[in-house]
Amino acid sequence: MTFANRAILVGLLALAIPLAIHLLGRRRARKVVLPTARFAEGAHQASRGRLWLKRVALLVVRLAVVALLVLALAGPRIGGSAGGRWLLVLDASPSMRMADAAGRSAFERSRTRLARVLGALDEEAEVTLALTDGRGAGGCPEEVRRALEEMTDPGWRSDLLGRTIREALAAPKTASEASAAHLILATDATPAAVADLRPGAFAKADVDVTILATSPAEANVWVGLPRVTVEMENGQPVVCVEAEARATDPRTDVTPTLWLHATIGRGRSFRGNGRVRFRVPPQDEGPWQGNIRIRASRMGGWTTSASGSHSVPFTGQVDVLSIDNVRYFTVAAPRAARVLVVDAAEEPDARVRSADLVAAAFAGEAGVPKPVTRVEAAQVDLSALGRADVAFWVGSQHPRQIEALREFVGRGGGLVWLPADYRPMKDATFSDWLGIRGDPGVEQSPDGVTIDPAGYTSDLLAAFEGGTSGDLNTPVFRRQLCLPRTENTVIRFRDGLPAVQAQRHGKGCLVVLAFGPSPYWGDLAGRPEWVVLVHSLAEALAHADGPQVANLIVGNVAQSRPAGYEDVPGNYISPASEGRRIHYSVNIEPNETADLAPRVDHLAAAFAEDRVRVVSGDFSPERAIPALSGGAGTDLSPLVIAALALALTAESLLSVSQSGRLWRRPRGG
Amino acid sequence: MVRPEQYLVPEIVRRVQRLDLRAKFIVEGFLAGLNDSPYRALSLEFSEHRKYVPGDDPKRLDWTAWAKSDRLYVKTYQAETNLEAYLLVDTSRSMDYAGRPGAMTKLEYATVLAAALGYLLTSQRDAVGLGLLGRQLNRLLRPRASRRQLVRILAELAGLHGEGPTALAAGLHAVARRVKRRSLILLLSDLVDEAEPVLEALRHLAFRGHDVVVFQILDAMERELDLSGPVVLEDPETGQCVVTDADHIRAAYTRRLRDLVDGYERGVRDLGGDFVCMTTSTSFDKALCRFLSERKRRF
Repeated sequence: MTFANRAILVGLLALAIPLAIHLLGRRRARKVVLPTARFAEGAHQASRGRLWLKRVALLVVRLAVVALLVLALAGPRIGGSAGGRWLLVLDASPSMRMADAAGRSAFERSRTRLARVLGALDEEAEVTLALTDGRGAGGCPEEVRRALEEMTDPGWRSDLLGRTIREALAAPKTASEASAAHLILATDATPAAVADLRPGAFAKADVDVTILATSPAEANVWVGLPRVTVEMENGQPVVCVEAEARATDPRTDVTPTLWLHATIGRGRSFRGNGRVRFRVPPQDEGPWQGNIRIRASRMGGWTTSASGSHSVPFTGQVDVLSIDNVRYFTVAAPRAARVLVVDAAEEPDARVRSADLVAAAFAGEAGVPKPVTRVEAAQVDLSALGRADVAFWVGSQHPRQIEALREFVGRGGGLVWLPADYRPMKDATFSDWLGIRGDPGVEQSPDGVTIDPAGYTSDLLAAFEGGTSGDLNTPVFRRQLCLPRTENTVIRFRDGLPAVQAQRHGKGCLVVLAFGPSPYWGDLAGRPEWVVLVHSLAEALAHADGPQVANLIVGNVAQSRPAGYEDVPGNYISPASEGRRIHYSVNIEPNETADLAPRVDHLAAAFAEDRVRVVSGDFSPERAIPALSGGAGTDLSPLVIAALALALTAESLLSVSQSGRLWRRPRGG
Repeated sequence: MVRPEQYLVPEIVRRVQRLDLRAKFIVEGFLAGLNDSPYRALSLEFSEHRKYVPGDDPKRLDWTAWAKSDRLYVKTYQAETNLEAYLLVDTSRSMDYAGRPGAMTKLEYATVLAAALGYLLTSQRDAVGLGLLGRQLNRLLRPRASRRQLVRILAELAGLHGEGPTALAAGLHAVARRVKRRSLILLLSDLVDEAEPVLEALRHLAFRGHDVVVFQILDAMERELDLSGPVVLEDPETGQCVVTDADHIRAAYTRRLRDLVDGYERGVRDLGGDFVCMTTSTSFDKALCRFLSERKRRF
């Protein structure tokens, strides 16, 4: 027998009440003088056994009433499968960030639903929770539920669903060898997520499967993974991009764009579903950083954009590169901050300007579109600053009018300073105002510090909005400057040194970054994290409303890497590379990306047909889960309530038979 | 102001302290309610004739006088003076019991009733005596038809208190042995005793030619066992206790008590006597009526 609310069983302690009443009732007999007591004695002797029986029966019935009342409240079930072995697999791919109209992501909705499932399980149930990003938990339902509550966001990296299911099924059993297993999959079932599943892959698995499939609440834009190849033409590498997009709304315009370094090649656009291929020759030998974006916009007032990006710096011949962590997301917002990007780099002849990389992050459509103005440091004045909400000062040059910057920040503007190169800042006045205080020096071992990819965006926003600090841990951020440890630090590197500092000046805010987008320092500019970061900074500093909808459509990881490549997250550099034969490839074939609609049927086909149940579409937490409702056994509550009614009736009858009337009135004597 | 009839109610009588006044008020209240009752002029000796007036009972017409004088006359009587009555009062401890605090005890009720009967008998010029029954016959006053006798009886009754176990049979046998002349025996007791010896003693009295009227006086608590829940019932005479549940034994108890009362009634009827069962809340006129009815039947 199982109980929905086991804690209520504590109420069984109330059984002591009728017992105490019974025992105390025997003691509180009043002494009464009665001349005719001899007749009472005769009557007592005659019915002594019957009286004892009635008393015991009354006690038993009252105990039963209390026990049945507690049982009825505890929600008993019998013969259910809420115990046993339960495998919960939660898709944590970036596409699960897709939000519904209320702003709740599919991941959040799935997490809530699984928490309810865990709440309905027996305490004896053996639960294994596995997320596709490698996280997981195991144990009793309550332990797993607590662990699940900690998993607030889907990661940026995600494994495929098939592998996660396989690992979950292979999880060691502990207590319930004979119990049937139940598998609950919470996923959006994108083609990328189910790419490693083939029909019947788990048909022989002894498991009942429930698929909780999310689906987009509104029409959306589906963007396929781009297929990128580099071919040699006349001794020069040529990047070939084959992009594909589909829109559920036929009025959507799709525009694939290749961005390589600061060079933008724009392909032709198409409406609805289509495919585009274009070539852009690189300008020199590299190292290269590439970024591919595909923009889709729907006519009618709002704009969505989707982008996929990858970046690979290289210096020599590379045979095959696997593109890791290609992401797509759409963002829409009603208004955007006005951004001023100031090129303050000390090297006027630098081929790649960091300011351009900052501006490019805004120029792309991976975020709320923001009007961006790019100026040289010498051109910055009150007039230019007056047309902006946020200014990005990129480089070590001293401003010509530092007072104008102070006034800009003081009246509410946001100023972000970030390094452009290796040069220390010469002007002590400016560096003191920024809080750098003299020569911050140059990080001597830039490769030595890497940071985790865990949720820096939320930390950053939380730091600005709530004044808290967080750790900036993602491998794509490399420290370029050693900022002094101050209380203004809002985000730290893993070694504790400041990554982002922020301080209030008047009504505005001054932010200093210890890293920049310079391609000579890392591949940050080619990463979607960078795009999200600068957008988040701009929106936070400009007090903009921020994105209203941020849907990540597809997340994916490389399936295989060629031998001989160092597995450095974010950078795949072949140490033995020579020549210029370069091949880019993505891990999903174009025919698999043709349709990014949910592939629940494909997922369901991986299991035995008679053991799969699908709950798709409306994914409200209130919706019943067949695995529980069908397998939860028989609800005994009605029977218990009927028994309670019978016990109450018996109690009344016994009381009446003992006292001679239904309602006792006080008697004399 | 209290009307005379109200003194028939025990609660009213209890307000009066003096026993002789209690008896007087009861009898006067009783007689006031008998203005047109058939008891008037009963048990009386012929006194004189008076002229018939419409409304008189035709049965009282003296047909002989009519035959002689051709006029209608009605006979009137005087009370008899040759009746001897004994008031036997049970003074055992069980009689000293009242179910409710402040209520009249059985002994008190019996005392008042005996006093009223004595008063009534004396006012009719009957000779009345008194016997007090405890473990045996404790006291026996020979009957006399005088006011002084009534004063003595009232004085005996006023000093009564219940004590000792009930042993009615022995007392009754003693009365039967000591009272030689045919008399009216009025027994006032709760009869909480073994029925057969008591009935045997009553038969002894009847055998001696006495007329027996038994007033069984019980408390309402005894009759109905008006208790609830677990109780410890203590017998005041023996001190024995019964731990039981009053609600549970009530039916069996009342049945047993009813059997006892019925047994007494059958036994008394069989020996030609009269039996009156009453509680301490019963109006006194019930007993007086039964007494007069029995007196009429006998004399």
